[in-house]
Parts: sequence; C-alpha cells; structure tokens
Amino acid sequence: MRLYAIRLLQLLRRKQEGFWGLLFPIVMATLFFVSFGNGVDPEKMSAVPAALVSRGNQIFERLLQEMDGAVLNLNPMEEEEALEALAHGEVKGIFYSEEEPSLTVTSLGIQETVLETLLRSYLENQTMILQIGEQNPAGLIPAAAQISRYGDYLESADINGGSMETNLGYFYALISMACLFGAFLGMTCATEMRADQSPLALRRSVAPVHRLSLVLAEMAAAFTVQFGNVCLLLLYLRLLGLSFGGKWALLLPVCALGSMAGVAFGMFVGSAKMREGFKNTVLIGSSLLMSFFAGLMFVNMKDIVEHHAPLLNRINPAALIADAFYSISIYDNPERYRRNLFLLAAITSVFVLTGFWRLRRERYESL
Amino acid sequence: MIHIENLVKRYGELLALDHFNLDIQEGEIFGLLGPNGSGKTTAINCLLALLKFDKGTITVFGKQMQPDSYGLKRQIGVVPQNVAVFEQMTVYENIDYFCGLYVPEKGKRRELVQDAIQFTGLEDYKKMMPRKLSGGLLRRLNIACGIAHRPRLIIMDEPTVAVDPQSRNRILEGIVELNRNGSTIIYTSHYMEEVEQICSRIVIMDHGRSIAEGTPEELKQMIKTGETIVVEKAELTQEQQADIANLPHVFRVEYDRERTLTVKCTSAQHNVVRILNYLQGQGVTFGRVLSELPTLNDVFLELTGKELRD
Repeated sequence: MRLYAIRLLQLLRRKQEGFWGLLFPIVMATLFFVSFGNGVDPEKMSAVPAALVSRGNQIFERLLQEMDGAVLNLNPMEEEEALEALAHGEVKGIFYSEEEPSLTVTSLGIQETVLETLLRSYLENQTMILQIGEQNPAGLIPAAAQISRYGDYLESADINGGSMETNLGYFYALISMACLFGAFLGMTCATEMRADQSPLALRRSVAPVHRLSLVLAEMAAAFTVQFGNVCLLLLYLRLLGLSFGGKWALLLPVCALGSMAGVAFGMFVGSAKMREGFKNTVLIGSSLLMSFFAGLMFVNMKDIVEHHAPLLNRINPAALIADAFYSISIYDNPERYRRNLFLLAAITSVFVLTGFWRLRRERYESL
Repeated sequence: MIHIENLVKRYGELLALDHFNLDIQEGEIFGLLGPNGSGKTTAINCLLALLKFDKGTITVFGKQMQPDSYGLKRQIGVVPQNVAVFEQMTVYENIDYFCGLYVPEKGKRRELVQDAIQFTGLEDYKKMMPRKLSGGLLRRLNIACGIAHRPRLIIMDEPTVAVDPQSRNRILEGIVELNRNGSTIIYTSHYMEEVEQICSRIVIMDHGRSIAEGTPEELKQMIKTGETIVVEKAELTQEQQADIANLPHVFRVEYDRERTLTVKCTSAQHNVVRILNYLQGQGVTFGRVLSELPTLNDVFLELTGKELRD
C-alpha cells in the first residue's frame, strides 16, 4: 500500500505525463468543440433517410413503417427512383422488402451502420417477428421498438454542415486516444523497474521488495492516475454539453478498461530492451496510429477498416474503445458492447502478462 | 563476509572479469581501485545479483547471492555510480521512500531518516526537490538514500565523481564514520588519493583481473620505487645524466625538455643528499627539489606499465 501511495503521489507530480494524459486531450476536446459547435449530442441525432422498395414482405414493411419518423425517414419508392436518390445522397440506403429482406448502401458511415443494424436485428429475430406478424399484428409495434431502441436518442438536427453522429465520432476517438496515453505512465513505471534501463531501477532492484508487489503497486498507481485523467476529460466533455446518452454506468467500465489497456501497453513497450528515445517514438507513433484507425483524424476510418480489414478493428484497442462508445450511445447494441470489452480485456491481459514476464526479478546480460 | 572466486564475465567478445577473486572481511573499508573499464562496477553488479556471469561463485554473509535473496539484500546498502533519486520527490521523501523499502515500521524509519539527513548534512535542504540541489548535495542525497536503513554492508560505486573538493572531503569523512559505526564498506574509485586516504585494504584491478591486493603500505612495498626525486630547471649533459643513473639506489633517470630531472630510487636513506651533492660537485645550477614517497599510481604504473589516470 505504501509503494502504491508514494508512486501515486510521484506520478501526479510529473508534468510531462500530466500534459499528455490530461491537458492534451482537454485541449483537443476544446478545439473539436469550437470546430463543431454544440452539434455533438447523440440525443439530438437525426433520423436516417432510407428508401423502401416494396417486394411483398409486408411484415418487414410494417416494421419499418413503425420506425418511420424516429429512427428512419422512410421513403417508399420504385427501385429506379430509389437508386437515383441513393446516388444523389438523398437517402443513405435502400431496403428491399423481399422474403429475405436486403439493404443496399453506397458508402460506410454511422448512418449506414444504423440501417445495417436494423436489418440485422430483423434477420436475427425473423422467425419470432413473422410469428407475431401473422398471429398478432398489433404486437409488431413493441417488436419494432425493441429493434430500434437507439431510436429513443434520435431527433432531427444538423449543425455546421456536419452531422452530429460524425462529430460525436471524433470525441469517441479522442477519448480512446486519452485512454491510450496512459501508456506514457506505464512506460515510465516499467523503465524505472528494469535495472538495465535506469539508475533508479537499479537502486530499486537491489532492495528487498518482492517483484510482484512492486509491479502491481506501479500498475495500480499508473491506472489510478490515468483513469482519473479520463474521468476528468469525460467531466469536461459533459460540461461542454455531451451527455453520451446518459449511460454513465456503461461508459465508466469502457474508460476503466481503456485506461488499463493504455497503462498495460506502456508497460509492454517500456519493459522491452530499447533506448528510451526509441520507446517514446514507438509509443507516440503507435498511439496516434491506433487513434487514427479509430477515427481521430477521419471519423469514417473505423468503418473503412471494418469493411476492408475487420480484424484490425478487433485488435486495435483505440477502435475497441471507440466502438464500445458507439455501441452504447448510437447502436444501443449490448452484445457488441460486451464483445468490445471482452476483446479489450484480452488484449490488456496479453500486455500485462508480457510486461510482467519482462519485468520479473532477473539478472541482466549488461547494465 | 564476501567471497568471490574465479568470477568470469563476458560482454560478447570482451572479457570484463577474468577469473576475478576477492575476499572481504567484516569491518573493513575495502577499496576497489582501477581505471575506468577495469571491471569494478561489473564486479559489484555481479555481487548484487544484477548481472549474469559466465563462471565463478559469489557468497555474501556465507550464502549464495540470488536476485530474490531478500534476507541478504536487507543487510546491504547501495550507493550507485549515477545519482538515483526521484526528481518529483523532496529530499526527505526520497530518503524516506528508499529507507521504507528496507524498514517498514514508520516510527523507526522516521528516526533513521532524520539520522541520515543529519549524517549527510542535508538538514537545510530536506524540503527541496533534487533538481534544485548542487552536484555535491545531490551526491550526498544519493548516499543518504543508500545508507539510511543502517546496512551491515555498504557498497559505494564511485560516490565522489564530479563532486567539488569540499563535498568530497565531507563524503570521505562520512564513510569513515559509517565504518566506525559498524558497517563494512566496499568503495570503488579511480581516484587513488581517496582510496589511499580511507581504505584499510585495496584491490587494484586492470582488464577484469586483480593485479595486486593489500593495505596501502603493503602495495607500495610491492614495487621497486621507494622515493621519487624531482629536480627542476637543471642544465645537464648526457654524461651527467648517466652519472646520476649510476649513483647508489638509483634505478631510473628521466630528463625532459623543460629541464626537469626525475630520479626513481629504491627505498634507502640520503637519496636526496647524494643527488644534490653530485649536482653541486658538477657546478650545476637548479631550481626546486621535490622528494615524493610512492603513490598507488606508482604501484599501478610499475605493475601495468601505464598510468592509473589514463
């Protein structure tokens, strides 16, 4: 406990880590906010314009009509007209109400993902919905509500030329980046535990302290500082007007696990035998690259990666953190949220175990 | 107390320790003297179970030293060559932190930390951050962090590097006092004057080997030089230089462009008188005359053929 408390105090006094962990994300958030105005609240997200080409599946059509207005802005059209509207960007996708309904989209983005999620939810529950539709047509209303729960958060608005969903994506990527910046704390801790990396580590290595206690204390202290930084960032975003759908109980586990992933990643890099300058370069470069693929610089990047290299999104902690946020506040998809957390925990475990293995008490080849 | 036998350590092709042997008794101030790169720090790091070695055995307090020998480590204090303190913690907090790694009891620790602060003369600086301390004060803090828990064995690796003369004297006096209070001390340095001043026994190292061992006096008796006589501004012919070289007890004569005559003599009485009588008899004028007893540098020079300072 003493090791933890002193390390905590010591980390809190570090100015460089404080800048990267807290000030830099806050500055970025401020810049985003100034750029986007206040068009970033998912509670004010717009209904997605979609075309419906009737092909005889009345139950599916009725289901879509139940969602019209809240989730969807549904426009029944002939196929030719629908394709033209899609080409001109008037609609984001075309639903074909065949026996096995299908969807056509021309680009990748959050609105297209909403349409895809609707269709997938229908297909996954097709048998049940068909039974309801045949035996008790009035039951389709709650079924539609169930499928489109995230519709509760969607209302119309469009500010500063960019959609709110898009703007919100930047903030999610920013939070992911802030979590990953815990890597700086993790690296500091690791460097100060390897006797071949710093004089301070050498001095601590000759002390009669059990290695596991030291590593756990260091990791816990770094996590506490980082999680605190991310919570302060969330608080700041809340003050700016972002509500994240009010689902704080679901947001905090993502931030906690994300912070742990950042710290563990830093320990993983910091425990490797490399020059400190090179480690810093690796850390900054990889954090920014991961954040880039999660949509920090170009918000649709995550969807592009999902389309072309989905595995990358499953192993990129920043993308997992951002997607967990999307799962909570846009898609309302608990299964996807849990999957993201699970993968994040798995990646974190790999980093932690590798880091600990490298930091175990050992003799070195050279100092 | 410490026994090192046939220790071999290689860094790739470089042989850093070449069948190095060492025995240190309790209560000594033991000096490891040698030029940079002679293997002093490598030997210390092997002793502390920080470095892998290729061959040999090391026992400390009669037991094999391992990375997890916590019982042994508790009795050892280390002052590393580079200052190793937390930049974000005050002088007091640093000493308290490192002392706390050995002494968990808060009350006892408070007393030990106060003693260490007093011992190193850091009373006026205990609330300061390390970055505000001078080089000498930083070194003193480095020492305080290593000795606060009152270890039985203290290992000091070049603790006075880049320290001003006043701080250096204070540090050396402190080391003697620590020894007087019961600690055994291993002191590595390439400053022969320091080692000669405080160490009761010395090992001279070169190329990873122990080339001589003993008390300072024993080491000086190992060499031929008993006295070095320097005569400045003397005009000498080659014949006169040859005559001086043939005087009794003289075994080497050097004469440089600055007209400085350096004469190495074996240990004997009246060496200076004999040389001065010869110069006066030849009517040679000269400036200052200096007579120096052998130093550890002379010992190193004779044993290795090179200067310790090289």
